[in-house]
Amino acid sequence: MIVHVNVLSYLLALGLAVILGLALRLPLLPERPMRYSWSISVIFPTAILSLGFYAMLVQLGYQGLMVAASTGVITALFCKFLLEKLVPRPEDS
Amino acid sequence: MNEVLGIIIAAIICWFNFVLIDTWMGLPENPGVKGAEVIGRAVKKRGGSLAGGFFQGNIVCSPDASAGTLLASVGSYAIGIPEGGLIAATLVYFGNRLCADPGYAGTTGALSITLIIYLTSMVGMKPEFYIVGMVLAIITIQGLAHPTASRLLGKLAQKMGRHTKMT
Amino acid sequence: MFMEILGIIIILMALRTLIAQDRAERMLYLNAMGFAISALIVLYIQTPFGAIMAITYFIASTLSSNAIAYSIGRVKKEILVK
Repeated sequence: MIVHVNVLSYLLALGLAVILGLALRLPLLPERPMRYSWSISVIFPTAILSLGFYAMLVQLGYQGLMVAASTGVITALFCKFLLEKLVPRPEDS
Repeated sequence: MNEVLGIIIAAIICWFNFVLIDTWMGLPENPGVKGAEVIGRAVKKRGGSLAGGFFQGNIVCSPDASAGTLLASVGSYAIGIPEGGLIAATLVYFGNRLCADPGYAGTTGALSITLIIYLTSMVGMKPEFYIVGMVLAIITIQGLAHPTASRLLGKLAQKMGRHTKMT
Repeated sequence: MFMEILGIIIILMALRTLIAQDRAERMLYLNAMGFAISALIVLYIQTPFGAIMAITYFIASTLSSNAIAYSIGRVKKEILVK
């Protein structure tokens, strides 16, 4: 069992994604009732995807604060502009 | 820790993890896709509860908290903590959106079990216990007696205010 | 020991799938089997790529079940042409 202790990098990726997401005018929370909402928000999925993408990069061997920072930035941009085009919401939702 | 004991404890933890999160996220309330409605009504015809049937149908048709729990355990075992759980949560999220589901249940289940695996690893539990435990937990819902399991899920859905309003 | 448990589960679910009459019931047993097979993949190939394979297999099988369950509901009458 491997436990990595580079919490700071994760927090950096998360923080940058959240800040840039708010700056790009993503909503903070999805609309109520939250479980049925399809809208992209800062908490979900931007925050989670930023941690996930950084985890993938760590696994591929790229660690460090610069990598974490760029991951956070790219995740926020991805969620704002690309996510809906990549996995569109179905028509009947 | 003894392996059999570990698997039993992990199965109980996984059962509560995915059943509570899925019920909270509304799986018994609505069939997410048409396929879940087919399965739900088929279970009801065999003497089960419609809400429980929708729950079971939604598990089949989309990665939900049960999938998130299994895949995060798989990731934690072979990739490590926390990378494995986070990678699993990301992949489950994309799988959800491809299955016409917003994605809350799957990722929440994956993240919560990753935290639980990390915390219980300090008292001797290993990720492989959670993998086998999750398979056992899903068998109790999808593999033993569907009407009985669906009635149990229906009662829980009622208690948590998530019972379906369809008939 | 884990592999034996999972192997028995897979065989039992496969048998129940064969015996079941209702198509929707079969989907549930197949879904349970998919969980066990995904677990078997990672417990055998104990590397990170094994985890990726197990995750990919599971999500792909869920996508297939999604499509199948959707069409089960749409096929109401089967017409046999002799």
